[in-house]
Amino acid sequence: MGDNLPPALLTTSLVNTIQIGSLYALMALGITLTFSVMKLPNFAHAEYATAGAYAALIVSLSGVLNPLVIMIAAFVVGALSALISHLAVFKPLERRDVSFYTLILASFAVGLIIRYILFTMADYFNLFDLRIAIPLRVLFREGTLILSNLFAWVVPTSLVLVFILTLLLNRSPLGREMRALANNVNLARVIGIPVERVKNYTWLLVGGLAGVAGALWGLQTAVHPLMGWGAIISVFAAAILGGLSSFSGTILGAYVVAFSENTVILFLNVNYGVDLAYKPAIPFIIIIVVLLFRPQGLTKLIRRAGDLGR
Amino acid sequence: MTRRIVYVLLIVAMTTMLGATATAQDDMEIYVLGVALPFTGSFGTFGQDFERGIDLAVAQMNGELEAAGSAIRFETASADTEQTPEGAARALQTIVQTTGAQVVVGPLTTSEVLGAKQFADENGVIIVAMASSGPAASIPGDNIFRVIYPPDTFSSKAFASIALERGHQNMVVLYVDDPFGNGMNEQFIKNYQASGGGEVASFGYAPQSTELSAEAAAVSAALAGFGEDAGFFCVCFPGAAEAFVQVSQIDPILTSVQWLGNEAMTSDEMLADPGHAQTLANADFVTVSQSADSTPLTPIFHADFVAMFDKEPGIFTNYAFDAANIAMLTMLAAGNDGAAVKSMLPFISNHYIGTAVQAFLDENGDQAIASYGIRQVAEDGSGFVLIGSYDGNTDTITYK
Amino acid sequence: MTPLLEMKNLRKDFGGLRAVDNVSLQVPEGAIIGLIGPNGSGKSTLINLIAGSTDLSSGQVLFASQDISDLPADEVFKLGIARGYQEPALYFKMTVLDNLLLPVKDQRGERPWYAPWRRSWQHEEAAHAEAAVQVLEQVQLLHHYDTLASDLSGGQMKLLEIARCLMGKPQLLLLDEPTAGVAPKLAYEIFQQIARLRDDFGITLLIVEHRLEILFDFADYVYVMHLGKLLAQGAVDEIANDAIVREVYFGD
Repeated sequence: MGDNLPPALLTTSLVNTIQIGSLYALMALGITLTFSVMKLPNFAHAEYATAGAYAALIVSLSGVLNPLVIMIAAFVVGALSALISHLAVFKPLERRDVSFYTLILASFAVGLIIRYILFTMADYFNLFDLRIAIPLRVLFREGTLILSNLFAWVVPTSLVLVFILTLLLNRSPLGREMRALANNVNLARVIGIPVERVKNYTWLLVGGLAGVAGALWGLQTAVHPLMGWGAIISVFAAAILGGLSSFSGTILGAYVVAFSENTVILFLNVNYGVDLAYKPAIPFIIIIVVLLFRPQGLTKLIRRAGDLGR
Repeated sequence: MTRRIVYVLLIVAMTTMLGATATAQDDMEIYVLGVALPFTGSFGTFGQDFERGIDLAVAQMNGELEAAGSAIRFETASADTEQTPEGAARALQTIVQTTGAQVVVGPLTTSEVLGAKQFADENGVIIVAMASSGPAASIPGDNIFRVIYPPDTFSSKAFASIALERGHQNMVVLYVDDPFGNGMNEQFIKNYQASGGGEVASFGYAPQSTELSAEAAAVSAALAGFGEDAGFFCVCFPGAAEAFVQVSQIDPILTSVQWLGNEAMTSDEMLADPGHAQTLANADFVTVSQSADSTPLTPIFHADFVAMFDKEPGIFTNYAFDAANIAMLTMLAAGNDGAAVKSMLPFISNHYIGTAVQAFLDENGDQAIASYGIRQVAEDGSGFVLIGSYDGNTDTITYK
Repeated sequence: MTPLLEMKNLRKDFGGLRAVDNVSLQVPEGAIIGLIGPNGSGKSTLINLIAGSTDLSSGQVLFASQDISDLPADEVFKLGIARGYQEPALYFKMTVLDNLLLPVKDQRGERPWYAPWRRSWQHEEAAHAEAAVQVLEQVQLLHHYDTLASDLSGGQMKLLEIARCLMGKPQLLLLDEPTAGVAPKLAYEIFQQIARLRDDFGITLLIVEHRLEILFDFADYVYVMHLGKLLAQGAVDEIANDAIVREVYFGD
């Protein structure tokens, strides 16, 4: 029994960590933002990503292969699905002052509905397990380090979007209003911040980013109505690592989760024979460990959501 | 005035007809055929296609029964297994408790079949599965019959023989971690090593995984460790298969060895992506799949299906059609009674000519005639070419 | 002349409790109106009803002859009614300047399609910051513009709250105990600032206050509430000498 990874495996798994972690970060930031501004742990978030991936797939199948056009289509569709789910479900529920747990359940239901709308559509047009038609190529190869054009797409796009989102939140008037909502929504209303409008904009941003993440995720795997749902636990684990309130924490969390799912599991597999099939258990373990070491649990985290409102 | 008379006549006519059908139905004896399939999940399209195949069988059977003046009619009652063992158990329970069905066609995968097994055995319900092949469900005397599609004990031998023929000293296997994948993996290792194969490194992936980079990295490293004459055998479900090929495309090791794989690797979706098709072509990808031989029923089924649904039947849809026919014929012979069906089904099955192969059951209630086609991906990745056949009963490979 | 703000038969029930019972009062333009009463007499609820933070059970609120009874808080703010709280309600983790820029309405930078492009909104933002600087000068907080709101003293927080109200260019200011928890000397200063708001900008004020000695120096007219009802009203002299008010309020 050795106690390290063969160099090729280490390099490949680290490249995967960066690539997949960037995608997790893009999705998890949306969850953190929805949780802070809207006080909603949105389990339908994954479905905005799937909707975006399908938008990208359909655009690419129609023959448009310009990656920018594909990403914009994914952004728009993701943004609209998020806004519609807010206007049709979350907003009316908030008006009725329903409990936090009702909102969680509602978000599951919204996710289920979007998922099966996509299923119906995919079944009708036979769009299962297809791939966005951007061919994969090796861009750079040096020893065991291999970087693909997908890596060159996914990582900078995610990092730029994350950077823009952070700037927007901390430096722009809209971000100031979003932080105000995160901190004290009643006061925001009293000082004339158009709360509903800011919420709508937040949903558009959150959904749009998820859509782009979905399109990039669709380059990584095959497009399927369940693809977003398959990633949601990992993404939530990243957001929970970030305390559901801190941007930098969430980004770090995303890479930690990706690292565990790629490098750590391979290390355990090579050295201790741990089955790779345990990979899906990793985000669950992370969530449980984080929540255990914060015995105050989710409710405390909800109050901590104010951290975003600097 | 005339119009009013027409209306009155119409109403009278409709009432009479309704009354007539009502009385007709009173005299009818309805046999309920349960259908438990995954209508959602990554096998949702299979489930929906299979249900069409079953609907076709039922419609044809009812037509013949009516023409013959029989009072028996079949009706289907379907439920979604959600592609999980628990879902399959729930689906079976729902069907049986709401309709009293004694015979259920389905479910699809071995894990679903095993999930539904306990309820079926305890309640005397007969399961007629059309595509489950995992050896884990080969159990004598239970209420599960797996018609038409033979268990993987046969195909795993074929895969092992081909691996040895290709000169692979060692093998790496990636398999879906469920009863089907586990069974295939175990059987493959057993057969491969029994015939002189070397070491086998196996990696299971979780069935719900949609992203397989870590798995691809592990397979690649294991292949590199074995050296040049190692081969790779992929036992994946659809979706995961595409995801795996996606990330393997740029792996220098995975793109330089020869691959074997199950049918899921040969989907239209796989070849729709030029990169995937090229990867399989470079890997001299070979699959062993249930026979594409035809019987006199093959073209008839195809024509009838297209006429009824205005679309092509999906892969293995005819197996569902066959399973429904075997179930219905047994019910006609033995009556709508689980115990009677259980005792009669092997006899009926062994006298049934399928749409692809002759049905014949072994002591486990599993298909015992195993005739496979060996297909290799075309050099340009445009499709799969039949390069030979494998007779599971004699364990012989014949190349064209 | 119609008053700037008019309340007609306001009623608010919380479950079985009638917090505000058939209260009608009027605030003429340019006046400083005092609203006094013992704790729990319904003063703060009344302020909430006007500001749209609490829904009315019945009655009507007119502002510049417009019915604002059912408007949400942000709409009420937009019409020109700003409010302060007994406990200063600020964004404590934001700077003083950010607190003042929050109520500025309808600028480009609030739109997600402009927000990421600083250049598209920085001129507007600069102009708003300029206005904020002027307001800060008025309340003598300018040198604190970059301080976190949580680092201010109690009195400064009160002033910041008033400054934030001014950023909305209000016609009417509702203040709930602007001197609560503030040292007596600073309390008098705060009231001087308030009076200047009226004198310099013509802002009308409705002030809930416990420090009657200061209030009576500045108010034009006073309403007295007790147990949700309007007990008395009148000019400062009348109220200060009203026997019933003294009995209810001071217990003598």
